[in-house]
Amino acid sequence: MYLYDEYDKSVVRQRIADFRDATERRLSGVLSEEEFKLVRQMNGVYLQLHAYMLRVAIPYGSLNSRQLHRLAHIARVYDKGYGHFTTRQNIQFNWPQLQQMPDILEELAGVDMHAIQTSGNVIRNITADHFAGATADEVDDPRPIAELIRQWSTLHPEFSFLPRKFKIAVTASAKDRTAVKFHDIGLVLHEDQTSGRGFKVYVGGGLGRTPFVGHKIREFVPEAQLLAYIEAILRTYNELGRRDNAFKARIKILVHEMGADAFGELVEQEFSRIQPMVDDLPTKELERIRQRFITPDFADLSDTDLGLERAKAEDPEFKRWVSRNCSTHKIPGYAIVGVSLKDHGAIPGDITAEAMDQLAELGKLYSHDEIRATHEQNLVLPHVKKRDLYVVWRGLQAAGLATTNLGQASDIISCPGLDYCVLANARSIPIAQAIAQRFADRKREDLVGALKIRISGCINACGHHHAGHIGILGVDRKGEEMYQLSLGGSGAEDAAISQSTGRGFDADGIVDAVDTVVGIYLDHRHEGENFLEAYRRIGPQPFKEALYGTA
Amino acid sequence: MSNLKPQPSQIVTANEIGTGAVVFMTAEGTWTFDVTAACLSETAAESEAMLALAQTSNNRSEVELVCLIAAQRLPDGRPWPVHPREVIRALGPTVRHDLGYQADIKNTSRTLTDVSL
Ligand code: SF4
Repeated sequence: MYLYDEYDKSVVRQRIADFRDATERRLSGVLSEEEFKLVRQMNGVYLQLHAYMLRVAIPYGSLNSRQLHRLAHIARVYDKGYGHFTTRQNIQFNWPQLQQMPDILEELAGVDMHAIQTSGNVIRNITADHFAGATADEVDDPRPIAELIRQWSTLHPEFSFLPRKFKIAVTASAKDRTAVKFHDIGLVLHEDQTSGRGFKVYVGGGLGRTPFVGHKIREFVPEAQLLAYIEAILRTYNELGRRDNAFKARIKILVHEMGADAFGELVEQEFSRIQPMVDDLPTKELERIRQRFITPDFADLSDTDLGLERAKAEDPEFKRWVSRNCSTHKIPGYAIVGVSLKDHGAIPGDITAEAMDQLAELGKLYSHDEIRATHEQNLVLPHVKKRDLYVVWRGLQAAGLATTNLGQASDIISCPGLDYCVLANARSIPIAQAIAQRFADRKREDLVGALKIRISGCINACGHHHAGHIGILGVDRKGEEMYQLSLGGSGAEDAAISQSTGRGFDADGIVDAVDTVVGIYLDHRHEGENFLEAYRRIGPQPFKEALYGTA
Repeated sequence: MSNLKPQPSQIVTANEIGTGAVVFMTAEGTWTFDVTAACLSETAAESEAMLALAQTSNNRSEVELVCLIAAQRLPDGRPWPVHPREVIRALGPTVRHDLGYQADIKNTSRTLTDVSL
């Protein structure tokens, strides 16, 4: 965890004081709707279908138990007893009142949290691998880098009025859990024997109306020069990005229109211009930040734990959970525990205040006081001793958080859709619920294996439907909710954009269509082949025939 | 955002500033959470007059995002929104019947599924 220093704290306090003042003036009618809108958006406050919504940043997805308890407290006292984890490692509260908003922000500030840069045309919350600092496959913990970028970009005057919102993701692992190639800038830390440590840089990725897989414009930017390089990208974008049309204002459009090579060329020019003026500040800053990250004091353990093996042998339920929800930790004797917020038929990403409290306690007792939020709307206990896994599992069961389905068909990403979102065309949650219920039979779910289903309620694609093995997009056809199906996307290192199958379906039809598609996969798959691999081998045709007939 | 031009058969809706809650304008120019108590226009001119009334300075510190939406007349004479989005706004999330306006009315006779479009 990163510890705030006095400067961080005073920035946040000042923002809250300003916001309190603006809120009071809005409530008394001094500020107009338009005047206030900008202020509230800068503080993460949206007006949704039924109420205000507050989006709270969880930088690089890391929380400690105090913070999660505080989120639970906010859910209970200021909201309706629950929170919603989003697809960008944020949490949203769906029912806070405007007059209480400054108090909620105070509550958050008390545990070093805020809602800055969760809205508006700025550099948004920096996301990072949710296994950072725990996974065996990373070069180093990417979160200090994410924090460095966060501090550098927070309230950065030059980049506070970008043509559009700007999203950055960082990973340090070849296995991509952050969808780096679907970000405005995606950074992959890697190590090179001759040049040392640096970043692969992808630009111009994104979902939404015009999805693109990001282009690699640099194989290696030395760590010390990273901020200068990002600055060069942002300057180039800030100057050339379109401001006349919100649909064309994202960096992906610019990169696409001028070509990644030409864009990269301009970035290089700007970079060589500013690079000599920038000292090695990033290196010193990084050192300072690294020191403010508390690294867990890991115990010296043997990698095999006999108690764990015995429990797995005795309890097949537990064994299944371990094999499905736990991942390899870099330290012997530890495991990374995935916590599913996707119980079959539940609302993806929603969690009650009680469950938050229970999970916070488990995190405090058994995971070095750390809890992580994933962009797949699940949570993680990153540092659990193998010998504690059984107890943790029982604790999760008691909290209703032991669903064994991570990475499977019912682990669906779904945006809030028309049940909450003011921009939506169609509902997404009920579709996710109905599909998940079709896989409530675990034999079938296990038979199908790894499958990523993603649902968005409009073309903004918050539900990442283009990055789903199976993607669903809600549309409005003359006042009727309809759903388009697309197949073959991936948000991982083999990033791909899913392709539409053709004509859309109504709400019942889309659930059946997913069943049909899964059936075709099961019929055609080779031994050990997952859905995406099979789709890539056989192509869309067999699926289309099953869905629409051969005519 | 539904931002319709004045037409026959419309009601005025907005969001309450303090809570963001969805409200509808009554024939008296006051605001109600109950969509069936809203004033339903017969003509485009009536819609226009309703919108003007809703936008008076008095209302501006109470509600925001004032706009007209299409509504139909139920057999019992009361108005009901046409579009599913507006029905959801009037009642609350369809996936949480314990939340939103639908949670506050004990004997709601209508839900989203009742409304055939
Ligand atoms: S994809 Fe559309 S409907 Fe879903 S949350 Fe984003 S803006 Fe709202």
